[in-house]
Amino acid sequence: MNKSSFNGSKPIRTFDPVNSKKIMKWIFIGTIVIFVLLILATSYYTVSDKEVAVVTTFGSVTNTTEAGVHFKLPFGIQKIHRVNVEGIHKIELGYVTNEDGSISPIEDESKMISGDFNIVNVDFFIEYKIINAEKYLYSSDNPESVLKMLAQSQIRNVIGSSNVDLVLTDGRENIEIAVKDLIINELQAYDIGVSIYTIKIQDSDPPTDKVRAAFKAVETAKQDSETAENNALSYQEQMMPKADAEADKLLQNAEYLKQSRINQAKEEVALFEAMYEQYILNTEMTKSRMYYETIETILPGVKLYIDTSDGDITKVLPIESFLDLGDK
Amino acid sequence: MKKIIITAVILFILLIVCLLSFYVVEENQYACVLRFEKIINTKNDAGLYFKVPFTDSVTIYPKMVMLYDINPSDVITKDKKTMIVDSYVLWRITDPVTFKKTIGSTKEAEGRLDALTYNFIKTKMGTLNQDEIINMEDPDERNTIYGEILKNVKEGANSYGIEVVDVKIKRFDLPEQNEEAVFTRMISERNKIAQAYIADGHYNASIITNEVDKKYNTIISDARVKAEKTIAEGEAEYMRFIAEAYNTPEKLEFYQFIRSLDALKLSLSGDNKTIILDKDSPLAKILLYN
Repeated sequence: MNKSSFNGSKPIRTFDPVNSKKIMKWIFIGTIVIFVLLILATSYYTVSDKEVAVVTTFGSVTNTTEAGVHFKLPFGIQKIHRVNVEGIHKIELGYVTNEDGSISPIEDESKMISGDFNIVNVDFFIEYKIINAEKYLYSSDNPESVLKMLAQSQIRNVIGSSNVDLVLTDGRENIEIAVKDLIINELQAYDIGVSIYTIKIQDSDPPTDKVRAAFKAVETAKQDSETAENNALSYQEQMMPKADAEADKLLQNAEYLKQSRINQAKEEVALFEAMYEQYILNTEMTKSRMYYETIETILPGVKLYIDTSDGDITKVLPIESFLDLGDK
Repeated sequence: MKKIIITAVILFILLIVCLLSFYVVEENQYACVLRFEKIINTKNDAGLYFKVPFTDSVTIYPKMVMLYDINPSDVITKDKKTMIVDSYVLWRITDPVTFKKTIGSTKEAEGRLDALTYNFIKTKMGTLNQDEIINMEDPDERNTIYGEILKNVKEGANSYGIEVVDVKIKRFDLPEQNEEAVFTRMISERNKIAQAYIADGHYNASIITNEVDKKYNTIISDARVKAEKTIAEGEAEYMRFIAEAYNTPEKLEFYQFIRSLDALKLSLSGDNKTIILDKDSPLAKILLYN
């Protein structure tokens, strides 16, 4: 192409210093913008209301912030360590809950020996809270593992001083309290920023099926023994009213007999009084009449002998014959 | 253009040098600064520090409490019972310089602590009978035992620049080969308890039943006595009435007369009876008519 040719059109340039300057300018501006954006993007952080954030400046703790949006120095000069201080965290001892909700036992953790040399399987469920974010982050290697092992140790202290019956039945609450107290004591000395919230016995069982059956048999025996006592008590409930009823019957009957005897006396007396009234009007006549009336009633069917003895001789006359005759 | 590139390279090198000259110590760290393998400085506090690049190097050690879980092992008690002991140690570096000189790494420290702790636990357990550990006494007593072990381990680890914070046994169990015997004993104990419950129940039940029977019989027998008394009272009343009714000789005589007639009637009722009369008796006179 001829540079000197003049045909009114602009010559085509492969390098335009004005354009190249513009591009450089835009690259420069772009770099600055990206740089600023980067600064902005790493200059703030948010903290949720469950958390606090520990801010470190070149490794050193300089601030602790609560929920909200906060500024920080960019490029990793200040770092943020969020700690969930509101949440209640859990530790499972003796078992583990799987993703699907099923439970797998961990016998090494649950199997222990009681104070009276019985082996028992006891599962514990522990809840704890983070009470000091800075200590939680920096004063120990792994606060959760420390707490878990301390709990295991103190649980065995308590179970190893308890009667097996208490472990398996009604001593659980006291055991939980005792374990909690011991853990609280030791945790204070550890000072690792966590505090125990609750500790519960999730489950306590005899170790094998055979042993479990033996423990069950004791329960059955207890029930049987109670049943025997209850039966005796219900026998008592049944017999005492029965005794009262029978006694009452005897007394009532006696009262009746007494009264009827008295009435009999009254009747007899009344009858006598009536007869006597007649009698005193004419004693001899009434007597004779009564006498013959009696004879009348008794004589039929009687063999009658009359003693006509004079001195030594006794004659007895049978009057049967003429009595018979008299009847005809 | 060349100038720009040279400037950029110089800036880059300066940046690298700068970065190599600074180091950050976190809150849970110690930093030992070494110049040609010799400790020239230690930093115990977190922050940004300067060092001479290329000649100085920095070794970081943990300042926080470290947890070391010792593997379970057998110990033998004073009364020759084997027990399985599983324990843990909490420790931390207190003097990083001494620590670096004597041990050098946390891995190595764990090995030393393992040996030290196991030894002192074994020694302590060798002075105690099994039932001095497993018993029905205060649970805190075990912590006292652990405290004695801790004291020894602490002293032992002192020369490493380590402070042992705690030693505790988290499992103190019977070896598995002893378990079967314990299970058998547990079962026999339970059977004994079950028998005792049954025997007690029957004993209590029979006490109640016997008491009931006694009360029942007493009530009935008392009632009988009372009933007899009442009946006797009736009899007494009867007598009193009768006696009152025949209180004059005439009445008495009439009564006797009636009673004798009644008696006669009674004795002569029925068949096959015989009467013998004196010939002077009024009836005989009537019958004979002479």
